[in-house]
This record gives sequence, C-alpha cells and structure tokens, in this order.
Amino acid sequence: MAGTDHQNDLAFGRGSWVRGITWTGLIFLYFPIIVLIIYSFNDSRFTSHWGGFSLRWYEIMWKDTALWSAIRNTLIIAVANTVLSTFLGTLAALALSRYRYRFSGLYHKTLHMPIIIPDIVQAVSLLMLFVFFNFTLGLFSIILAHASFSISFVALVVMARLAGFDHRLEEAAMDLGANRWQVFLKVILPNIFPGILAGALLAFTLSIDDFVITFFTSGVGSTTLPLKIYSMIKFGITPEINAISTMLVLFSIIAVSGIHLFERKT
Amino acid sequence: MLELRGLTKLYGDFSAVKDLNLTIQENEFFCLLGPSGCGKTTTLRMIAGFEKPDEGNIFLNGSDLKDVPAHKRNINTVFQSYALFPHLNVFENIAFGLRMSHVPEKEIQDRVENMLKTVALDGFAQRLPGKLSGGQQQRVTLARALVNEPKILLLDEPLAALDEKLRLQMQVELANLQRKVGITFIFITHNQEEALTMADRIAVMENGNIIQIGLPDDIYLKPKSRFVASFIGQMNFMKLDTLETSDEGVQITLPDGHVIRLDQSVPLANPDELRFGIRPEQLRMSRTAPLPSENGLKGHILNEVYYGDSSIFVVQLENESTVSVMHQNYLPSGNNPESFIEGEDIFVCWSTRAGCLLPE
Amino acid sequence: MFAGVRERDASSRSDLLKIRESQALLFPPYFFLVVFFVLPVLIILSLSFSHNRDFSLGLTLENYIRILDPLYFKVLLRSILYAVIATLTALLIGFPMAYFISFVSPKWKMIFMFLILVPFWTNFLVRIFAWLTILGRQGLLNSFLIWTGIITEPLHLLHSGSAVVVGLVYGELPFMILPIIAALDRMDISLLEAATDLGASRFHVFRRIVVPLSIPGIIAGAIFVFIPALGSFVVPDILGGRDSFMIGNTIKNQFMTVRDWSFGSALSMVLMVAVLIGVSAYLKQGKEQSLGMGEYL
Repeated sequence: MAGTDHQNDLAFGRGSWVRGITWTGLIFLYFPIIVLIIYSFNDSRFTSHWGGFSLRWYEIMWKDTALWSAIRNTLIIAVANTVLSTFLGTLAALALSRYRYRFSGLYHKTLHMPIIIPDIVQAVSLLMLFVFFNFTLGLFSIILAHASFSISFVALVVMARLAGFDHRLEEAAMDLGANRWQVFLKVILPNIFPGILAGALLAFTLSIDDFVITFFTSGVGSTTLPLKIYSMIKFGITPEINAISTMLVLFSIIAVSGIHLFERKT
Repeated sequence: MLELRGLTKLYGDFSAVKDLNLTIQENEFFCLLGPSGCGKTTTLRMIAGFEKPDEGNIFLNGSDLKDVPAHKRNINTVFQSYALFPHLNVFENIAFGLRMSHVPEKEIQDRVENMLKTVALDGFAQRLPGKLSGGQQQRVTLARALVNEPKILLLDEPLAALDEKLRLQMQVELANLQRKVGITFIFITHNQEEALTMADRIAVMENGNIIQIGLPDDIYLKPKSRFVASFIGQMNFMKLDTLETSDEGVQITLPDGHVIRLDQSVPLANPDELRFGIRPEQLRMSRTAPLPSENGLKGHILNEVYYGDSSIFVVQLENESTVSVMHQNYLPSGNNPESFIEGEDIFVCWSTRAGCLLPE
Repeated sequence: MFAGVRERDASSRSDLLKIRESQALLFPPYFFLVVFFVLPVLIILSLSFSHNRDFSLGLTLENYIRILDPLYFKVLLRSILYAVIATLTALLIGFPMAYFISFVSPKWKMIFMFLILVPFWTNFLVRIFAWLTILGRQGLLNSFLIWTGIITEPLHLLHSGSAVVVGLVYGELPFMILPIIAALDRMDISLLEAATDLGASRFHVFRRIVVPLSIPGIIAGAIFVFIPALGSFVVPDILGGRDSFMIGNTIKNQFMTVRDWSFGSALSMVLMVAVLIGVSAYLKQGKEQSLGMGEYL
C-alpha cells in the first residue's frame, strides 16, 4: 500500500493537546540536564549567581585522583560483568529458546525475577549472602552482584533475537553436512551476534550506572563512579559534580548515537 | 454519482496519481484494475479521505468533498487486511459506525442483526474477530461497512487474502450482494479475473493514470494498448510491414510477406507504431488449409503445456516468431477433438474478424 | 533437575543429543542464578522469620507484626501512594508523547527516539542530582522567583513529598514512553483508518481504538515505572526529607544503620511480594509469557 508509511493525512497524534504535552514533556526531560551543563561552566561555587564562564570545574575534575580511581574500578567491574553475564546469559537464551522443558515456565520466571524485583531487595539479599558466607566485600563481590541481574537482561535480549531466528536454517546447514559445532559457529552465532552484542552493551551500561546494588555490596577501596557521585551529593556538593554530570551526559549521547549507527548497519 | 477531476497525489518527486479523471455512476459495480504501484490504492484512499489530493477534486453527487473529513463522508471502506478491531466482538465491530453516528440502541440491534443474516453470520455476534476464519472475517468487514448504508462502498483488494476456492465463491456473493443492496461499489484489484467476473465497468490503471475504461468484454477483446492486453489474459503480438484499408477492413502485410485480413474499421496510423494482437483462444490449429473466412499461417508445433481442460501449444511460425494457441482437450459432445503432437507441421488459423491493432 | 523435555519427539539419536546439549547449556547460568539470586532471597526470607541476627530458624512473626506499627506502616502506605502518583503522572505525560512520536515521519521519529533514549541511558544519580540544583534553597527556581519578585524568602521545595514524586516521574518517564511506543508501533494503522472511515472523529479513534489497543504497552510501562518507584531509595534519599522517606530508605536504615537485619528482611519481603502480586496479576491477564523487555532495550 503506497503511502501508508510516510503519509499521515488523517493527522493521528497531531492534536494540540498531544503536541503540547509532548513538547512540555521534552522540556521537562531536558531542562535539568541543560541546567547541569550550563552550571558546569559557571565560575562561581553557587547556583544562585553566574560568576562567568570557566573551565575550572573540569580542571578540578581532571585532577581528582579519587574520581579517576573510582572510574577505574567502575570500568574493571563493568568489563568483568559484561564478559561473565554475556557468556552466561547467552547460554541461558540458547538453551531456553530451543526446547520446552518440563519446568520451562519456572526457568523463564526465574530469569525474569531479577528484572522484576526492586533493586533494593536484591541489594540487601546479596549483602546477607556475602555476610553469611563471610565473603569479603570488594570488587569481586560487586562483579558477582552485577552479574546476578545482568544475566537476565542479556538472556532476554538474545532471546528476542533468537525468536526471529528460523530454525530451519540449522536443519538446512546440517543437511548440507555441517556438524553441530559448525552449525553453531557458522549459522547460529552470526545470526544472533547483534543480539549478543546488544546484550553485552546493556550489561556494560547497567553495571556502569548501578548505584543501589553496588552501594550494598562494595567494600573498602572498591568505590565506583556512582558511589563517588553519591558521596559528593550527600557530603559537600561542589560544582565539580556538574562537570562530571556533563561528561556522563556526553557519554550517553555518544552511546545512543553509537547504538543507532550499529542498528542501522544490521 | 462520483466524479474525480484532475486528481493528483505526489509523494515527494514520485506522482502516485496524476491528473486522473473518472466518473462513476450510481449503483455501478466499478473496478479499478492495475498492477501494484499503479496508483489504484492511492486513488481509493483519496476517495475515502485517508489522503488529501495534492491537486484536483472529488465530487459526490455534485458536491465537493474537499472539506469533508474522512469520518464525515458517507463512504465506507472494506480493507484488504480486514482491519477488524481485535478488541471488539463481531457485533460491536459491525455496530461501530452506527454508534459513532448515535443511532438509537434499539435500531442498532435490529440493523446489526439483519446485517449478520445478510452475510450469513448469525450466531457469530459474540465472537472476537481473531476466532473467525478468513472468509468469515471478510464477511464481517463487509457487514461493518454496509450496515451504515453508505452512498459508496470502497473495496481494497478484499479477496486477495482468501484461498482460490473461497475467492471464487466470494466473487459471486459480492456481485449478488451489490445487486441486492443497490450501493455503488468501487473495487480495486490486481487480479484481472476478479475484475472481469464482477465489474459492470473496468478502468485499467498504469503509472498513476487510467489507460482504458470500458465494459469487461471491450477491455478483454479490444485492449487499447499492449499493456492492457497483456495485463488481462494472454495475447500474441505480430509486427506489421504495411497496412492498407479495404472495403471491409484492413489488409496487413507481415514482415515475411504473408498477408492477413482484419475485418474491422480501424483508424489509420503508421504501421511501424502498431502491432497486430490476437488471443490464444481466438486461434485454432488445423492440418488442412484455412477456410476462406480465415487467415492462416504455416507453423511447426514446438511443445504443448497441458492444463487439463485445455492445452496451450507453442507454435513456431515460418518467420521464426512463436505464437500460443489454445486448444480445447474435451468437447461437450463427448467426441474427442482432433489431437496434435509436438513437432507436427500445421496451420494456425483465425477468423478475419478476430484480433485487433494496438499501438506499440 | 534439568531433565525431561516435553512432548517433542525425543526418539531419534540426534534429538537426544540436542537435549543433552541444551541441558548442559542451561546448567552454568542457572547454577549462577541459584547461588547469587535464589539463595540470597531465601536467606532474607528465613531472616525475616527469625529473631534479629539469629540465623537459626527460630520461627517468629514479630518482624512482620512490627511492620504494622504506624511508624513503619505509614512509610509503607506513603511509598505506595508516591509510586501510584508517579506512575499515573508518568502515564499522563508519557502516553501523549508516545502517541505523538509514533506518528511523526521516520526522520523525526529517529530524532525523538534519540531525545528519549539519551536520558534513558544517562546516569540516574546525575539526573536526580540535577533537581537538587533546581529545587534547592539557593537553587535555580528560588533564585528566579526572588529575582522576579514573586517571593522574598526562598521556598522549601526540597525535602518534600512533591520533590520526591517529581524525581520519581523524572527518573522513570522514559520507561513509560518506550513500551507504549512499541505497542503503538505494533498497531495496524488501517484499524485507525477503519474507525475514521466508520465515522469516528480523531478523539473517538483515540478513545475507542488507540487506547484499548495500547493497553499491553501501558501496563508494561506502568510496571516498569511502578516497581522501581515503589522500591526507590535514591530519590527520597536525595530529594526527600524525614516526612517523605519511602520503604527503600527504611530498608537501607535497617541494614546499614540500625543493623536490624531481620526486620529489614521482613520489609524487603513485603516489598517483593507486593511487586510480585502486581506483576503476576498482569501476566495472568495478558497472554504474553514475558514482559517482552527484550524489544525495548
């Protein structure tokens, strides 16, 4: 049907109310972010007045060694979590999407739980686990904690990709003489690879962003970037946070653009 | 009466419909026929009001529809995808239009129930559309549109999603229904058979414009262009060398020197720009010379494609070109018709009144 | 534990091979989930029934009874109230936005999706902190109001229930918009045309067709907003005050400050059960087995 995609002559979703709320909503979403960015260039300590344009908060941020060690910790955790949860999550997705087991429902529900349950509940239960087994809190405990919820996200993303995978391709490959391993490497993996990559990206971002679960499972010397930001917010706000925030917004703009370009390619 | 005057629709640089003029009479079963992308759907959507023409006007009984929004037009549509509301049951789907125009509840009940009877779906009122077969869904869409007693019913390839058998059945039902309700039907399809079986008049579209309009047999037997001819059924084409008018019609000399007669009055034109066209079922094969009232060309049977009731023989003529000839395999009398085999040399014959001249 | 493939013909050798292989694939992730997800939940479940710090199962209901103490019960009710208000507000803003975005041209849609996704991917703490800058005593809003002369003394905008609700809506709004856009995108546009064709005005098309058909998206969005809002600890911690703390703050206090793990566990269990009841009510109603998270991410 020619025209239905790019033609909206009936003007659905074009009422003045809908339009008005949309723009108001976008202003609501962006006003605080823009305020942060503007104030990150404010020479004054105080938000109440404008002390002129300055990069001093960026300079302070640049020289803040505690911040950089927090970033380092965050990246170590994120990378380790990404590797671990992408591997385990993909395994779960592959196994679950292929067969219906007697307890399939249970497996699926278990997989959804970490997404559904409030993070604070997960945080305190992990804390209790580590306390119960006298496990030292630190980078390693944070990685395990992050993986415990990242696996589910990875598995769901990969499963969504597998849902569109035509299993006859496997049969066709076997018919042409490929063994099980070759089928996996040459047929399944290339098809679900974008899903795995998306899952990995998600695991990475979730890990970088997580505050609540990290807060409860971190120990001495394992401060991450969100923990650092939190303590700066709670104990002595300086405009340095504005500079850090601006960098994080920039980071997510780059990330979203990157994902978009990636999706366009696949 | 529906009139389209200079209707044009652009999508960027592409004109989906350009300067289209058409008049459709009341109570007519009118068919817009054409391949996908010819602009027939866009035309229909402009009549319905889903899309605004970039130029031109649509008049319904003399009044311009320009400022009448889609929901206020007394025109209803049967969608190709059925577009039944999945969250409403059959009754509510059919009642939707009546509810929108605030018809009293009692009347809604009566009209919907009558409509269900008309489309032979009584007893299905409480079902959800998802629980119906394709043919039943099709009938609900029809009922949902017809219950509003529109001036015009637009049908967008309504039979495309049905299987062969159901489609044939629905073709008959639709034609009967149209006579019964006495509403103008505008039907679009890319299926020539649907158009020929149901329509009172057919307009053939190509590249956003109507290239021929007429009665079904006119369109079938006297196509105005090669496009129309090959879109509707099959046709053999022959190049011409010279063209001379005689008392009864024209004398055509083919490039290889053979002369054939066509006993029709045809407007004179440059023979280089014309083709002689004839349908496979207008040709016959013969082991004996053609009759005086016939044209005949010698040929050689290349192969036979068997269709059951009939076969198509591909015959190579002396000038190396090939023609398709339809041959009935069985006769009503019970006698076996003459049979031909591949490799045989035969005459291809046809009446001097059959065939037509088409622009290149 | 992973045995038993249902129904599918497992007679041939290659099928048996596939089944064993799938079971082998299932083991590592589920072993991990059992140790780091199921076991921890079981630990706090048993803690919630025991006397404080006593890991032995001396069964008691005292922790649950304590929740009924007005001191805590008020916090619980307040959490539900804030979460409900935040969810409804996010729906009222998010639905029109989603409706608008799903009907703009593809080029504009890409731009709008980008604008929704950037906050979605931006650090939550940072986004909540931004409101501190705006609502603070010497924040932007107070400075602006004093500058215009509307007020002379700064208003107490922070540490209030409204500040918490604003923060919750702000933090979770993208989670409402994205599933609704996904639901609207799945909707066949010819349904809207059919309704128009049958005489429905734009408003009626919206009410009778668009809203009913986007209910799965609305419910998914509501769940994605309600759950984190109900269990929120960051937002009330940063923007709220003593009178606007939520159950998340109480849980945090029990574990980090008061160190009453049993009571904290009981609160956690209540929160978890409340969320699970809500979600399973939805899953029963809808046919979908999953929330279909995968497609929004």
